Amino acid sequence: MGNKRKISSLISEYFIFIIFIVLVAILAIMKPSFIGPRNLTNIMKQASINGILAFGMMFVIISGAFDMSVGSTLAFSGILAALLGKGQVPLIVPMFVAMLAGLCVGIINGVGIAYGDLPPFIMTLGTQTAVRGLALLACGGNPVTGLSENYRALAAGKILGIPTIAVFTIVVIIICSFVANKTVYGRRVYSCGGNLQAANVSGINTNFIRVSTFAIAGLLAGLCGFLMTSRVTIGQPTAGESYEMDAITACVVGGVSMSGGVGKPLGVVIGTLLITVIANGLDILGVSAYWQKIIKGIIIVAAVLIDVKRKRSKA
Amino acid sequence: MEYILEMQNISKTFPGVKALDNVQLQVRPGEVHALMGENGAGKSTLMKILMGIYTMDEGGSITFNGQPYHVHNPKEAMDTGIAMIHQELNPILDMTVYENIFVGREISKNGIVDKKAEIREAQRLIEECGLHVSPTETLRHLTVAQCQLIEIIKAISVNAKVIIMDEPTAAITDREVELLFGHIRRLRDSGVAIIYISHRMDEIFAICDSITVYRDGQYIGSGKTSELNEAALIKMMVGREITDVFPKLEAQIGDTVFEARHITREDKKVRDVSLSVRKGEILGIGGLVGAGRSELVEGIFGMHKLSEGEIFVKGRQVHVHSPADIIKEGVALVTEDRKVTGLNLSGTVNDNITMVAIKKALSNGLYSSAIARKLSAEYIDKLKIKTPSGDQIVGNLSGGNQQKVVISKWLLNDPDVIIMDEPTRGIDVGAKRDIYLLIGDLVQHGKAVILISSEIPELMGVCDRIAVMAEGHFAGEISREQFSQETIMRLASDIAV
Repeated sequence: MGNKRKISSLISEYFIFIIFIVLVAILAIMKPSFIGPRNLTNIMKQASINGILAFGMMFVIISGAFDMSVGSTLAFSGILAALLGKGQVPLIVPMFVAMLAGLCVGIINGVGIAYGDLPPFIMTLGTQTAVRGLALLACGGNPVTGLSENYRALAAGKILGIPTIAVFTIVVIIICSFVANKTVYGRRVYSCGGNLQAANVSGINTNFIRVSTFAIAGLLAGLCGFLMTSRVTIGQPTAGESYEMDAITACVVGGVSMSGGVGKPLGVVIGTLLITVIANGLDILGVSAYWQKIIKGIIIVAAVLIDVKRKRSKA
Repeated sequence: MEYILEMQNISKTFPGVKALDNVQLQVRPGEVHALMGENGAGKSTLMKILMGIYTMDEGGSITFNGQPYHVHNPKEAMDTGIAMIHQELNPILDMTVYENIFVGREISKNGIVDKKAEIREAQRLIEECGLHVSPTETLRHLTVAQCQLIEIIKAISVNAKVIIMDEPTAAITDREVELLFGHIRRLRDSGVAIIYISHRMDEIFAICDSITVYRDGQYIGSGKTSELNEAALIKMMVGREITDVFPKLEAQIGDTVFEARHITREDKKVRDVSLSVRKGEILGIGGLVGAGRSELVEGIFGMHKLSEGEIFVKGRQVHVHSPADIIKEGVALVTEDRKVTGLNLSGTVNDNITMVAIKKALSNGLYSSAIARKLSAEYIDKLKIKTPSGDQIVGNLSGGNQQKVVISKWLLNDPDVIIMDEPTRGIDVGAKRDIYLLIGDLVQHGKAVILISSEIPELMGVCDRIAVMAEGHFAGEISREQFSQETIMRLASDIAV
């Protein structure tokens, strides 16, 4: 029985991975250009921003909440980065400011939720709206143009043949995976999401943990803002709309449970790649954008359905 | 140093309520010390002060291990040497055994968890405890009792000198209670003091060395268990004498009103169980936790799919696909966990009482809160529900009164057969007695009652007949004349039947 359980839990654990492989194989057979170096680079670029956002979101969801504001935070910090990136200041300055701005939004979210006892949905819906307003205010509603040569070149460049923007993502993934898997802090995030009260009576400062997960999500959204501006070469106040949904989707599809306490970094990587590959593959196959939305919706529900069924069979 | 822990002049005032009024507690090293008192007596508040969850009022003093004791949160309490096992079990189900044991005080170097050391240490602790689980198993796969032991291991592993156990046996079977007591005795012999909170009288006398009693936030007295008896203890707790703990009212037993034949659940948690109950009769269902008793009644009630079985109410076969089908026929189920399946905790008493028989509260097809208020007032009065008014939120009532609300909700629907699953779990002596009297009153009025309980004395005191289940099977049946604790235990643990 133990063996049988192991096998079935292995399958359910790597189910999404199997789907991913099968999907790639099908697409590669139908359109060999899909696995051409050009398209692979493209996929990496497309997955980069969502990958970083998803990893921030991962901490928040594992801790038992979710963050609706990261798309707006991305836009706001992107505008700040664009305004600073017009001059000849070193690129580290706009990056630092963008991340700081994101961090602030995250901390506000976290404090409202942990100390103010607000539901995550309400709190982050509030900041989603307000921070979008800040983004529009900061640039007077118009896109910020005239970025420095360096800044525009950043996202277009490559390091060792890998798009620079993807290098950022890979570094974020490595750091976040390490934090989630290996550190005391990571373990405590899981504890909070698994059973907040238990974590509390075990002496964990649960308020700190909850605030910090939102801080991470905000910080990474800020980084995304900085990268996004470089990628589209202007600061767009409307950038990143509904990106929070893509990030949540990547997590959920990757096996992160919306009820908290469960989820693996590797799953989030696969989740991110899966939804990118689906979008990219459907594009290549010439499926209309309308159908793409329908398919994406079905995938989200199916992924959660699998998650729910798996939980029930375990219980 | 005579006492490991000494609490003096402890008071705690909440807005509008004095929860503790100048109480005391003295615990010696190496003893099991019972805290007793009805719900609301102040035991939990006192323990929460000890754990740093509440702050006491000015003027009190706590001495631990000869030193003044001041803590601000559970972590500081644990670091000082006091650990608590909470009444509501606190496992993190999706985490492993070793992760649960070390939650909050992970073994680490430079902020990085030393997983290998944790597993090794957990393995050692588990073996010491005589438990047979792998440290890397997820808690979701363990039984409640195993989870309970993990909590105890957790408390031991902080090297606590005082361990508080709040109702540690609420969710485990008699056999597992014996195991737990073995561990408690071992801890005691190694010099650890245990503060033991329980409503079960037999446990107190079986395991505790001394007892302190509280009532309504006051200290009533303390003494050695060997110098006290049950009657004296109850008198201290409730302030008056209760002569019979299990009152049994005489009722006229009539024809069979309810029968279930060959009930087998699709998930095989219940296999081929038949039972019947007559008008005016109380049928008990006994067995160990996990014997399938709750699963049986949930199956009958249409909450789980049956692969086989027939159900007859008043001689007529009923095809049950959902609870609504059988409720319509006059069967009620007071579920085991009132907080999960019994009540809308954020609703008012009125809302909850009219939840099932909502049709009775309609006026011209619309819900009338005036009628609801009137209906619920009747039951608040009849069942002696202690609530300021019917508009009170149910979550604010004590456990015993919440249970009475659940029962009222069903009684309003005027059922003929009432199934009660552990109706007295976690409620105090006075409220328990009210429930026994209520059950007696129901059968006197010609209802039939099926009572599931893990407390054998309760079944023997209240029932006319006891059916015993073991491992999902029907293990045997005993009539009142033949009741004995041994027979029931033998049937309950007989797996081969």
